[in-house]
Amino acid sequence: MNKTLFFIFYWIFISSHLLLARPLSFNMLWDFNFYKEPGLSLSYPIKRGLSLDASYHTSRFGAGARNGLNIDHFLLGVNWAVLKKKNASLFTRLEIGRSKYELEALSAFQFLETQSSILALGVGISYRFSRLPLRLETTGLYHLIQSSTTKPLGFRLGMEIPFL
Amino acid sequence: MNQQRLIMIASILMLLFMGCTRNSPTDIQPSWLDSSDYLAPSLSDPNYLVSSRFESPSDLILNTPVIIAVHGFTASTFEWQEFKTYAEANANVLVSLVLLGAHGRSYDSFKQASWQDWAAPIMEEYNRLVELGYTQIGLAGASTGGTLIANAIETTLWQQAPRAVFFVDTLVVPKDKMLYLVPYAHYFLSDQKSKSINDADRAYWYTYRPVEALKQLESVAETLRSQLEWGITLPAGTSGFIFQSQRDPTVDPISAYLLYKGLRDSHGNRLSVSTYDSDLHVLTRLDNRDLVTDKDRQNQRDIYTQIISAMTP
Repeated sequence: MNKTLFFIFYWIFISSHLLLARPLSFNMLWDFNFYKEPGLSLSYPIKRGLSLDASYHTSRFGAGARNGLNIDHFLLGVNWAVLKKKNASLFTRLEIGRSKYELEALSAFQFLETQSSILALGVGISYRFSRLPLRLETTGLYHLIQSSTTKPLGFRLGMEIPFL
Repeated sequence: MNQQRLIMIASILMLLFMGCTRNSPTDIQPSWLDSSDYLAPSLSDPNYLVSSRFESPSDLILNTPVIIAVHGFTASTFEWQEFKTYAEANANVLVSLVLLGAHGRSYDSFKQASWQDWAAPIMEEYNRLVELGYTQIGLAGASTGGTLIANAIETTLWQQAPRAVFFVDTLVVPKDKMLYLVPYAHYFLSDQKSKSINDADRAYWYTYRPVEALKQLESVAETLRSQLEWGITLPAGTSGFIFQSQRDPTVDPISAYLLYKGLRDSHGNRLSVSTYDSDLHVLTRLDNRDLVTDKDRQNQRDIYTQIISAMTP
């Protein structure tokens, strides 16, 4: 868990530096992967239509808190808006990262993997409200590299609140 | 522009047409379980089920532990035959071989059935045994058989609780993750022809896995995943055992961990888990298998011993 916190603060730190140059936005995400995994991300626009983000998703507040797996996903993503029309846009996404699983220490399960890589391609649509500091997005993701628990097709809902 | 639109509409219609006109396979042989000419012997032989094996069971028989053994997806009672032969020869137990609904009949009946249809014979046999007066009944499930038993535990109001439940390589998470896509893409998929079974096995396993059945398989696994997430408690007096092959080619071994996390006995205790250094799926059945090691035989005997010990005083 300490490593998890380290990663989150590391990303916030890096993003804060980027923040000096560009406006940063804060996203709340809902990932429909193996479980429904809530997450947070910080995104940073590079230039028109292109943005970078770093995010953390976890099952700890849902399935993991009950009887499911404690899964943590650490992701870095690139979004590229390929089509824009008024407030809506169609974008493609590439994300890489790692999944970590917290398994109970039982000798019978020592053979199970506790982490794996992630590589996914996605397509999504987003809508930015004119009068509200809010953007909604939905993304479909296809996992090119998947862990033992990851579904090949994922689905994500996101809400972005620009805070600067 | 109009031409592009026309091509797009034509393509969509063609895909829909391809999906709707999926035909039954034409190469099904009369000796295959998929054929309507050949029925699994357990459908006509009363000796497979303990409830029909003894016309008027004595008190001695009624107090003998009975293990209802449930096979997996596309399989038949053959999957537990080896265990039955061993257990009844070496211990004072009876093994009731249940044939799942829509299994052992024909491709068409399998294609039309739901997973609830598959599960129905399990509780039918259980309830018949209870009505007849059998006092010690256990349930053992291999692969999807275990999935159906776990679901029955969650959804049944037990008049008489099982003595023990055994989960062998139970399907919670499939190894082939493409199964997750079947509910979304089934219109465009064709039936799967099993390549892993040899000709001799075609009388015991369905060769074809209809897309509709795969959809049902994903549905029952999804149902169990959700039930495990919220927690399943065994009835009072029932003990539970989980067995899992470490390199199972069919069921993701993480399934055993999810069962371990989601299942508790009535005192809130976790179930016993044993994992095995093996490449086989359902290593309780070694008959007719090509690559069987001494270790597999040792593991099989260990599982048999654990099941029998849990059922006998």
